Amino acid sequence: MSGLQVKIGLECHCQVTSLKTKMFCRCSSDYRGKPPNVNVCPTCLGLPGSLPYLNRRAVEEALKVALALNCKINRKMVFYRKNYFYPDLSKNFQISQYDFPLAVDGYVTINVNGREKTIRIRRVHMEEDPGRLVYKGRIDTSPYTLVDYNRMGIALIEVVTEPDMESPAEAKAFLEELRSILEHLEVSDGSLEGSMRCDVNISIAGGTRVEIKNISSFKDVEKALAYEIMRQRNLLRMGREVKRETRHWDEVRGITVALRAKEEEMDYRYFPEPDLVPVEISDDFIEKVRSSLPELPSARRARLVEQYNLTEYEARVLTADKQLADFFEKLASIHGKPKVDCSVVINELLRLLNEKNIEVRDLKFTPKEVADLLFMVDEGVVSWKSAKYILRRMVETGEHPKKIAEAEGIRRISSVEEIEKFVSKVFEEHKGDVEAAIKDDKVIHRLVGEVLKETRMLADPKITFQVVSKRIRELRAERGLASA
Amino acid sequence: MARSELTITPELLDHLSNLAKLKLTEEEKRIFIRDLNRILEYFNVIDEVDTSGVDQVFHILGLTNTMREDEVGGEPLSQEQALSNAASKEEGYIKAPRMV
Repeated sequence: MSGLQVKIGLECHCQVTSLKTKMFCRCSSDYRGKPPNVNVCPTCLGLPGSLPYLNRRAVEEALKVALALNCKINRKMVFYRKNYFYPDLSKNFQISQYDFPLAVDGYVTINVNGREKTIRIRRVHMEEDPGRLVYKGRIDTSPYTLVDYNRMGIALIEVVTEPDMESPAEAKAFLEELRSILEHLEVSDGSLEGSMRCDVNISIAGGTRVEIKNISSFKDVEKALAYEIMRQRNLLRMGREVKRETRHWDEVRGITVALRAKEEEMDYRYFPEPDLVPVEISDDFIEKVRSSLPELPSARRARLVEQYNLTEYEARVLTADKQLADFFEKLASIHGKPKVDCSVVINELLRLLNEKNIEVRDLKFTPKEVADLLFMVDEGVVSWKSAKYILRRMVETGEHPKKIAEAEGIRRISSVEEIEKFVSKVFEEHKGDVEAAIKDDKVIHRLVGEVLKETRMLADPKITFQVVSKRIRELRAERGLASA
Repeated sequence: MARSELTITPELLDHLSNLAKLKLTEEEKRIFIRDLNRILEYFNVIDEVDTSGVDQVFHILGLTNTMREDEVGGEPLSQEQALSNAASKEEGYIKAPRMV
């Protein structure tokens, strides 16, 4: 069954978080964390007599995205009404695009397990975000729906791919690349809750296409797809048919549930929005925006490999998150050992971020403080092992590494005289082990471990080993024994 | 020209009333089928105009690129004003029927 071909297409809705206002009215785009229904005006609510007024910067930002995705730009774009009765829109239609969208026919190159693949982009268009629906419990058992229109009218860019992805891993790789491109363009901040959402189309073995709606984070797409592939394969294995339908991703239970069958499928009756005039996009405007595009993730990866001698993999991990790549470059410019600095960022720092479930921007310190920590290691003031611990404390407290080291008595013990004192104490307390070590070299390691523990892992392991070994040799000599 | 072929059948009317979330009685259906077909017939006159060589028009004013700057302006409605037409509300939200 695993050989059955899977085809996946994505519709990604990305909020233009770089704007100050909504797409068609002057309401603030800063809707998060507000009480329900306080960030609305007659226009976004669609009250009688109000008229939409297009945000120029929204068009510019969408054009940046279309160009970064290698699309053909339509010289004339038109807004359409997409008509449907659903409480997430109070005016019963969404201003979107249909014929004459902003852009078509682009592509993005992804990399999965070292294999490059091109994912075609069918179209990029602009539309307004609907309101937010809140359910009591689950969508399919909630007795009623609560509606908050604060989000309604936020500018969205919809990116629609061709069904070119063949596994959940490829879908994930595409979404990561898209997110990174949007972050490098500084159009959309993917770390904001609900700023990037996805609808997924999936079919197996050329069979029926199933749509999964409203996956509220890119992270859940891989999970929803894996579940859906398993569900469809099980149906096929039992000789049952996969129904053409729309399903909803239930992120709490980690399953998809049927929303509506094909017969009830929406018929949106698109027609040109009479309240908005067409937008003509001139060659000059396109060139102006194109020349302002920043370095994009693919170019940055190539530069990171070239400039810092990183591996392709390291460059990929860094650029998956613009802030992480920025952090690395700043750190490398101060500390100046790119290989070490990269390892600290993608191994130690990234692990801590994931563990604490926070973003780079949540850190209470800058690359400068991490560089200070690494200088302490270089100067032998603290061990590498202690440095990892101090980095963890930095994430937790935001304190300077020197301060943490001082407050917690962390230093690197490398003086033979000082280590000898600890060795004497351990030899006194572990007489059995000392006797065993005199007979057997292997037991020396156990004693070294005890000494390190006694120094709270601050002693230099190599020097400690030398001191302990020397002591054992002396004891053997006293008893006239040759070294084992 | 395909438009002129369109006729409102009982099935099409059911589809339309379903999309509009309207429940129609048998009597209303009969009236709507009659009226809507008359309206379509009336508009068929337009199809007689020769539009070959005429560009598609999206807006009667012939304007393009009416856009504004991205600056916050005007006061938002208060929650009370925003909810004043809602039939049912709860804790600042509009209360709507269940969706699935």
